[in-house]
Amino acid sequence: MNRTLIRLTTLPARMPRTLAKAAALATPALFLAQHAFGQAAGNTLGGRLQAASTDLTTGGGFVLEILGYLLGGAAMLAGIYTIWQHSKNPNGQARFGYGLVSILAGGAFLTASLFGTFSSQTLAGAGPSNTGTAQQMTFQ
Amino acid sequence: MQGFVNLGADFGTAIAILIPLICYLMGGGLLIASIYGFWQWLNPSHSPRHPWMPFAALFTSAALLSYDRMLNFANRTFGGGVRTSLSGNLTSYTPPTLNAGTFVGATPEDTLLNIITAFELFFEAYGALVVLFGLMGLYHVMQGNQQHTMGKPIVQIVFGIGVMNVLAIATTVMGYFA
Repeated sequence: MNRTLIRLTTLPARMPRTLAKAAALATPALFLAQHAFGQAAGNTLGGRLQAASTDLTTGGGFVLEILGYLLGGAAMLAGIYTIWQHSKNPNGQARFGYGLVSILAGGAFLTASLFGTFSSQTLAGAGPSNTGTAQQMTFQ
Repeated sequence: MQGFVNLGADFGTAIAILIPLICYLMGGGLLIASIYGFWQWLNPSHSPRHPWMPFAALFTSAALLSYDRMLNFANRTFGGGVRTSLSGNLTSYTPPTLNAGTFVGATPEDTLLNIITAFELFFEAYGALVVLFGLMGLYHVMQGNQQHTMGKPIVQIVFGIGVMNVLAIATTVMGYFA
């Protein structure tokens, strides 16, 4: 059997040709696939965005959660360190008030969703309606 | 015409799904940013250029997290009768089916109103998006990042509500010609 193996050293040199060949082969298939999708029910802009919205909301929720968790831990540690430094040298750079606020801010970071609920209740008279699941705005 | 209506309804649905996503990500981010601002407020080595920003971020985040209610406040003030809510049930778009026999109507005014009714979902969703951009613009003015004053985003918000209530406005205007 006469098979040509692509050596790793020659791969970058072959890339332009290989890519062009692959693109030429793939393009008609892509159009065919799109045509088939176009025929399928529900494959609309709204349908595509439903999938994207579900993914991004879930992923964004995780990112916000980890931000609150990390910043909360950092604020707590900074607060404890500041109060400790203040107790060692009351006239130094470390202010007691900043230490206290750091610990309070740490608590707010760790319970950010509750903080958001409070602010939403202040402004709109009810808890947040945007709850972190994929949602759709409806109009009546 | 039916295809054009389908396209408009599809764009409308896409925007209606995008709005809660933007609101959630920006609202959550601004909430974290506002807590960070409150934390750094008393930092001796920090002198904020705009000391009111943590409050501005907190209220903007609250407005974004309950955005449908804020829209309802504005819509009630405007009086067009459009109400919004957020639903967890994602539905696909349902464009209105046009009846070619009655679409033209008896008068030119009827024709115009029928066309606007056919594209109503798009207008409502696009108006809500314009108001959302206005709200974000308001926040950027408070940040001091814009050359213009608060007037521009406020006008944008008012006219965004107008776009949402285009049917009520058009009906009123057509009433003069009837």
